Amino acid sequence: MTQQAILLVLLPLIAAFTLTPLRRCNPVIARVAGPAVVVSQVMLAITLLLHIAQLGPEAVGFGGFSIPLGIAFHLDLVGMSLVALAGVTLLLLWPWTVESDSAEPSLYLLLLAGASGIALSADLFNLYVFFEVVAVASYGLVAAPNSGIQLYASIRLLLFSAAGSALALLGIGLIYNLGGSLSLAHLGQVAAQDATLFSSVEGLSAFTLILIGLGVKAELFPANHWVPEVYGLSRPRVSGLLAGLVSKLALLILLRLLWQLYTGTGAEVILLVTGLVTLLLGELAAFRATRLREMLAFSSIGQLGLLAVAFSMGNEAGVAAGLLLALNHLLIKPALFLYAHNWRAPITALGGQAWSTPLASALFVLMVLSLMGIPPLPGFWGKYLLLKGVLTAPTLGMGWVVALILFTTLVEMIYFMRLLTRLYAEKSVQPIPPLSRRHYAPVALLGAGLIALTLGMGHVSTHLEQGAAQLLDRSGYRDRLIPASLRHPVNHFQTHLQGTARQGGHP
Amino acid sequence: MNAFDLLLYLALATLLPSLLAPKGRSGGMLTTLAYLLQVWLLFSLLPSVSQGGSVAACLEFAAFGHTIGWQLNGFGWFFALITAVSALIASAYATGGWERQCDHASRLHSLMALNVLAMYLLLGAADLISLFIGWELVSWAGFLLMAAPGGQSVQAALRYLIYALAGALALLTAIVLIEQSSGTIQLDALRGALASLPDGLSWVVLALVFVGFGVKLAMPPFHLWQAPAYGYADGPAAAFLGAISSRMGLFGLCLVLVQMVGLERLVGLALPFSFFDAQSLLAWAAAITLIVPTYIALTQNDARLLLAWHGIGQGGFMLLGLMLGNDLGTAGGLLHVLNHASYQAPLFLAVTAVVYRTGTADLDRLGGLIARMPWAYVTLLLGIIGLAGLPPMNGFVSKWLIYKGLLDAQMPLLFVAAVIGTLGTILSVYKLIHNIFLGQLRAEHREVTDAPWGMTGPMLLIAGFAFISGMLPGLGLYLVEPAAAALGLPMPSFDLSAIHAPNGALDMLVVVSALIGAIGFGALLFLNAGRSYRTQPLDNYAGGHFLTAQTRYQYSHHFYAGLLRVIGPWMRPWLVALEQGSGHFLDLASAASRGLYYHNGLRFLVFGTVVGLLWLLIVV
Amino acid sequence: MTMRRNLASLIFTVGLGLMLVSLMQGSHTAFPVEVGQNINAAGFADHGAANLVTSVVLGYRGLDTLGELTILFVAATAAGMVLGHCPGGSTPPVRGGFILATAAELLFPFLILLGAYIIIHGHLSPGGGFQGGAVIAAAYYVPLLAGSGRLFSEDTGSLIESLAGVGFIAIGLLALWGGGEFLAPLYSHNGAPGALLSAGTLPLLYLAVGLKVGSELASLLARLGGIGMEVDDDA
Repeated sequence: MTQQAILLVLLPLIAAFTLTPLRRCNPVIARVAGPAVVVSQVMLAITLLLHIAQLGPEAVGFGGFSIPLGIAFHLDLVGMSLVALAGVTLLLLWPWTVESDSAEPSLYLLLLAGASGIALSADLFNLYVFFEVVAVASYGLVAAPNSGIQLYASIRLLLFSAAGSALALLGIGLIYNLGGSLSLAHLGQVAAQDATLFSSVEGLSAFTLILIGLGVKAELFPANHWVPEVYGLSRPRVSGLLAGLVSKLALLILLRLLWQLYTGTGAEVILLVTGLVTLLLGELAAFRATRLREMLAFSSIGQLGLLAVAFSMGNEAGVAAGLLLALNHLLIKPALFLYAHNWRAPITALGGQAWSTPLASALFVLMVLSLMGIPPLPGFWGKYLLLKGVLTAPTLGMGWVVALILFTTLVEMIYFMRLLTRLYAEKSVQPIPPLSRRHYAPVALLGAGLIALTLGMGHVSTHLEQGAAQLLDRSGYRDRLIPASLRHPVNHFQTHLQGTARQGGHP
Repeated sequence: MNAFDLLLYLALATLLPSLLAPKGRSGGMLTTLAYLLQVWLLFSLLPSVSQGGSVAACLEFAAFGHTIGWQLNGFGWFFALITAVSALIASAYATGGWERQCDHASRLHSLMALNVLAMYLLLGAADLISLFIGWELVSWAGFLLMAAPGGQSVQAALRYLIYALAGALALLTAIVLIEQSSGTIQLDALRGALASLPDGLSWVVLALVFVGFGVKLAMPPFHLWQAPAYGYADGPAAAFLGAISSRMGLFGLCLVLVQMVGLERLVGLALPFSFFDAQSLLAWAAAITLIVPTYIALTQNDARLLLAWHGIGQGGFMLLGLMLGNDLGTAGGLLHVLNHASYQAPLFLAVTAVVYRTGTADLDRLGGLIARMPWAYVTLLLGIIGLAGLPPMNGFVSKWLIYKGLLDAQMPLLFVAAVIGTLGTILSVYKLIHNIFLGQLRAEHREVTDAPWGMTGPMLLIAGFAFISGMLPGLGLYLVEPAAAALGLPMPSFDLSAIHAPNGALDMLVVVSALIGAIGFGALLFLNAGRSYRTQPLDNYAGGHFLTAQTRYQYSHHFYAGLLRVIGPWMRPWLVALEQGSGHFLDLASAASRGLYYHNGLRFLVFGTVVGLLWLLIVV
Repeated sequence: MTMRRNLASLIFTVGLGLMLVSLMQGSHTAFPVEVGQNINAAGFADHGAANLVTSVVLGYRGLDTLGELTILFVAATAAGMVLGHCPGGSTPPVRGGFILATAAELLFPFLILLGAYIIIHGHLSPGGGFQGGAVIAAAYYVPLLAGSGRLFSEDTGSLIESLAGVGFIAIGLLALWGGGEFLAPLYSHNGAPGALLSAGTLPLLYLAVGLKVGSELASLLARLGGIGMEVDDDA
């Protein structure tokens, strides 16, 4: 049953490969095919998710070879939920009204395939390959309309991101040099047997290189220079996708690496410091933003920094906080970018705009409140868990971390409240653009998702804690991926390999 | 489905009439009726919450391993009653005539109802998270109520909200720390649980809680927001907010300090290298809250701002009483909450009536209105007698209790501080009543009449209650008893008109009869002393010239010039400068951050490389 | 301004250089887990392919290769979108001289042959789908550069591309539905080692890869050349 997990990657790939000739044959079917594939993908993901929720996480091998020679997927709650959420987000932000010969639907499908791969894969290089798929697809989406400034910005993004990917590859090479394998589980076993291996200069440098390389997409300092420019210029749903989905995927790769190989080394501190600097710079820069899009771009940077801080805590509360904050951000940011597309004027000129669209503005307020962390919305629970995680972490100096988090949250609250009071000020005399029709549905659905999350927090909390526990369960991860015969060290897996290769697994 | 659930549902339903019937007075009338029902429901809850009992609500949910629920005990009930009555009076006042000149009356009513609901949710919290949820809701509802009129009130409300949110963040940290050290979030289980924390952690929790709740109470250094926020709000809203809204901070502080930490622990928690301990530190903070805003009040020229600055000071009195720990102090502090509401509300309402009729609240542009608005004058007079703490009003009883408690607890310096605070109070309210009602009537106010009965009625009602409960303090103390029992603090023995303390009792009947006797004696003398001659205010001359209506001889501007020459040099705007400085610092930091992002990556690359090299140097 | 930029670039390069140098300080002589040696030892036995690189690319890490294919596809699609609306048949190609045109026409079949050889013998000698596909794409580019007018048909190209991609996945799914795992090599030992018909499904996979890469790159190059879409059925 879980062998069909590979279909999560294959379905969108097949659809993407065949979409171009299909477009030439029958444009109508081509228009519908994309969303149909995404829907079936989501349904498959949900089925597998229910399966995993009942029976626990599982490992799936490919090629008939066990790791570390072959590649394996590890299906756990968080990964599978991410696949489902990716599908849903892409569906909500689907380019329905694009011209029929545009390749955007293909890019969306490829993004979905890459996202599924990242969420499920347990092999370092495989993760890198799927990450590249996602990255190149996002370049394409950013660059799509041919206006001049956007092309410059997207080329800058391309160069910067390519340099980042090169750095990440270098880091992966270093890890291979140190650990002799590319499989996360195997590397984790090596790290567990030799604690000083990855805490050496080489190991930490490898981590830093991968951090910078993936940090380009995960909007972490010092690689997030492209964010305000690109988010300010690209179309709202693309910004929403990048900020909401792609950044989380990059962060997930980093986290899997961190938790399998680098626990107890200084890597967590590196991630923490990076997160703190990102958070501080992002929120401070948003304070004086002149346009809503700019404010949202910097706020996104700040939130990603907060996520990095939360995940670097390494305890269950911190990880659960990170998961909840990530989910909150995923639901809210795309919707906010859609709003920002409407409220394009400088913020000082936005006086009273909220009165013309009362329901939509009320939803906007709700989303902003959740971002700020006002109870009983999910953002509050995220911040509460984050504080819990930070204050229960065993390292010293957590008081400073808490103070910084509180300071940046206050700054965030101030600038958002300034925005809200301006939006709800006296009605202005300027003509007010109504919310564009085709943005109603995604915004409303995302808002409904937020409200459902708020009301269902009791149920979601148990799943979040389960997911967090699974993510941190390093030995369980290793045990599931490495067959029993391989769990003793070094070279004796030759003969065992041939034996297992002959048998293959059963679906 | 018990009475507390009914109360919550009713409070929710109170939002509806003004939303559904925005025009006309029916919305307001239904809302007032709903508040009356709420008061009645609260009184019916009294038997269940006295003697330390409590009523649990059906509203609860579970998340992250905690069960979050609501339950009302005596302490919360006390504040809830004051909330409901204040809302009732304010709503009756608004419906009675004030809303005729207000274009957002339905918004006002629904926001006030929202505030009441939020306060019930706060006061009925059964665990730390529902407390926080209620706290945030109260902050937000307060913000919306303050911002309702628009214009300059929005800026003031935004400033309040920023302070409140900062305090809420500190509160959240304290909650997480408390949960971590005691393992539970249920308030019942936390009684005395924090008494066994190590010193360092206790100080951190105390500081965070002080910031969190002190912002609402407007204790210095967090007091800058309250006066403009309450002063520029709508009249009835200002009365409601001034009466009870800040006291929510007191509720929270007592919950943590008295119930969770305990006064013995506070006494035992000494500040290193000094003779202060936590209890005296808090008592002095309360004393500073009493003195500083009260003296700022007497420099104000806007009547509403003066009253608002005043209200801050009285909160200090309440905290002072509660920090003493003996029976008199407890009774005094809690009774002062009730009494303060009962005279702050009519004060605000009377000033609002003046604004309603004359269109201005500027103390330099009013005067002599006693002749035209006698009922407003009576209300204000009763209010300021209560505020000053003179018999026969109830303010006298609670202040007497606190003074005696201070002396019993052997804190003479604080007693002196309290007296200085009362002096400031008397000075500033005298300025208020003189500049509005006494002195020369202005030409443009020749034709004003008293406020309509719909407005005067509620004002007089609540002022009358203050008068009666001054004569019969047992009424007030009877309502205070469940609160003290829930907190576990002692109460003096009392009956309807007297309070019995081991070293001297207070019998208000005796006091009042003495007072009335004295006044009566004076009246007899006056009436039998010969004919009196009624004269006009303008039948007067100065410097050899007769006065005309155009001559302004009203002494109102720069009222306390002499006093301010002495204490003026001490009243520098340190905190305002700090506040503005923080704002500028934030702007600067923000500009620096943005500069990092908007200059072609040059600085970024250099910055990043420098960081990388530094890291290399440190690690390698 | 340029001075500052140069200075910053210098600092950055020096910093990066220092970082890399410091990284190369420690190196391990013995790997904890010797994946490479095990591939050497077991690779042929597992796959039956004489070229060990092929057994790694398509056998052990087949999923990665699918990912790489996808990356190329995404890049081509994205580039196509960006270059998107080229006006059809805008500037006529610059015609090279007689020698260049004739040589190009002569070269074309040889290049196709070379590319096909590299693809088909990928499992035996160095080469394979990616390399052969690049050569085939070059085969279509040479006439473009020489201006001899042989054009690449975009419709047929994209059809071949998609069929090849689906073919790769289908072969993998065949293994899945046959009771094994996805992309498990089938029929690995049905031929003599070193013969053309050996290593089971691996050459088929390489064929799919080669066709896909070839048509992708060719259409991309054609787009870059700015030539319009005249149908010349010649693939």
